[in-house]
Amino acid sequence: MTQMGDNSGGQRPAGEDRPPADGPRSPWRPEGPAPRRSAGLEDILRSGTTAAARPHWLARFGGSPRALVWQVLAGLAVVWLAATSLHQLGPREAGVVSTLGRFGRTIGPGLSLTWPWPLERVLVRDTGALELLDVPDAGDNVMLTGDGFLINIGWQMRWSVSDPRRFAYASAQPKRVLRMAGAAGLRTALAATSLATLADESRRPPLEQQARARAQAEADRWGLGVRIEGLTLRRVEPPAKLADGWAKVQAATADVARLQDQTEAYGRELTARSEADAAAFDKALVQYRAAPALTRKRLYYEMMDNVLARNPKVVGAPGPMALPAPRRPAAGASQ
Amino acid sequence: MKATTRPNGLAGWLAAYPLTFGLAAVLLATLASAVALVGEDETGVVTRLGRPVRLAAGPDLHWPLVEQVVRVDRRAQPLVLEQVGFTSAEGQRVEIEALVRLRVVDPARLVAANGSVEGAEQAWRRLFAGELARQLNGQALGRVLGAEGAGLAAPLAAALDAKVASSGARVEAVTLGRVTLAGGASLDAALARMQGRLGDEAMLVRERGQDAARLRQADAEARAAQIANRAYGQDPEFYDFWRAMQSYNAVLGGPADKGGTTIQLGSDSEYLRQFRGTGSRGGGQ
Repeated sequence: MTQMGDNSGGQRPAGEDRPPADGPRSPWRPEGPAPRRSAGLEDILRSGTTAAARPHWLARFGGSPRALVWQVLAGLAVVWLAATSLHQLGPREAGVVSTLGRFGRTIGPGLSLTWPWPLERVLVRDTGALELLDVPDAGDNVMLTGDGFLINIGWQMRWSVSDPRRFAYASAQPKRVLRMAGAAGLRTALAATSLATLADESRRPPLEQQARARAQAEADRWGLGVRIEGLTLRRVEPPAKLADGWAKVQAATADVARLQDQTEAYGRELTARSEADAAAFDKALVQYRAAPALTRKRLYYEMMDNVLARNPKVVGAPGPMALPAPRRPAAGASQ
Repeated sequence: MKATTRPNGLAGWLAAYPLTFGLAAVLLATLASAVALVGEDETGVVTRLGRPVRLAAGPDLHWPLVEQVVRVDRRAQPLVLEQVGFTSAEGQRVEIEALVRLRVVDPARLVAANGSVEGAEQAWRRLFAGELARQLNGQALGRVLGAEGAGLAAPLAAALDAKVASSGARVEAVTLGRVTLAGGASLDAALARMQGRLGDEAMLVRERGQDAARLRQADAEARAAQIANRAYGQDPEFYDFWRAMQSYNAVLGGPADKGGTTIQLGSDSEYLRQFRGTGSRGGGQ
């Protein structure tokens, strides 16, 4: 009986620890001294006094609550390390690494290793992507032209980050600066532009170019590290009160454009015709120089063929002839 | 039994000595607050009980509780002023937006005077808007529109800079953004004037277009004449003959000559020379 009693209780290895079986026990074994209660909080806290006190699920973590705490901490540390010191950057990305708040270095595409946060921090920027800035967001954006007219202009700026370090550090509000740089560029370009120029869509690109260059210069003065790819006028219209007058200007502009097309076509045609005539003369001249008298006669007879064949004629009538005779070739020509 | 047991594990220790652990935690937090990481783009101003005592950069250790680190951005600050109104030389109410590039050059002085950049910003805005309006009043609109070319931007920056010199900041540049006319009665009058001018503008566009068209036409004709001169100048005498043949062909032998022109060929005509049977003679006699 006594050895049986020794067997009960908690001296078994942790791996064999099981809750008291509900099933039938060995018939020769009496009921245990007391039915074991399930593990309470105290048991867990009073960790590791005896293996018997440990609940079975703890066994999986090495058996002791202390080990569990350390394992959880270690797990968190691994997650923290992986999340803040391993950085995978895409093909068009660049990362600015700051070490204890100071600029450290930049990292490129691929997998990079840094010290974990808060020792090092990485700011990732998409460098190849074109970003769009539209002004105004809503409503009107009325500006003044060089000749003192008001015009409502909607414009768009396309830009990309060319230097991630500069972009990260140059200014706290780079986009705000960019927007103002664009507005300033456009204002300067407009100051040198008349309303009539603005009415003619074909004359806007130089204006846009000028505005872009000015905006880029302003962005460079701020050292923003951006490249302004382009600035486009997307909407050019007058304030409502100037709509009639604007329509007149646009009609005139369209008429002028048509007139320009016409005169250009005329000029092209005239040039082509005179070149063709000149080429024909050149060819005739080559033949004439080879055989002056013969060429004269041939041209004369060809002309007479054509003229006389198409007109009524009286042969043998008195009086001078209506058409001039070919002159005799220059002295010395033998044909 | 329990009282004599040595506490086990972190939780056990926590439960056994809550006061000790609490104090340790407070101590740790206090120590942590004694460290400040001042970034690449900022300067730390260490204040002791609100009074600036020294500057800090990078990781900085200071007394906890009594000392604080105020971060001041060292970069150029973009201060956008929207809708600064003034009256132009033409008597027109004008509204502009302006971008002021401002840099804190004396962070300690700034913190002593204003507490922080954010605290100073409101005051600066008011100051700048007033000064800009004062400087621009009475300026011709054209000059304001082309401010950079007209040499207006630099004096504006200097005027604003004078206003903030005492607060540890510098105005590096002023850039005017959009320039437009302010609303109200003066705008209505200006719009009415513009409407009238637009009619003239349309006429002007037409006239200019016609002048340009005439010019282009003359150019084309001159170019054609040049081509002709170069070609026919090689042999003017042959040109005279060749062109005459072409002209007869075109006028008398062309499809335009519908009814026909009766042509008399005299018996002594050169054309009929061979017809008369006197072909051996030279032509033209």
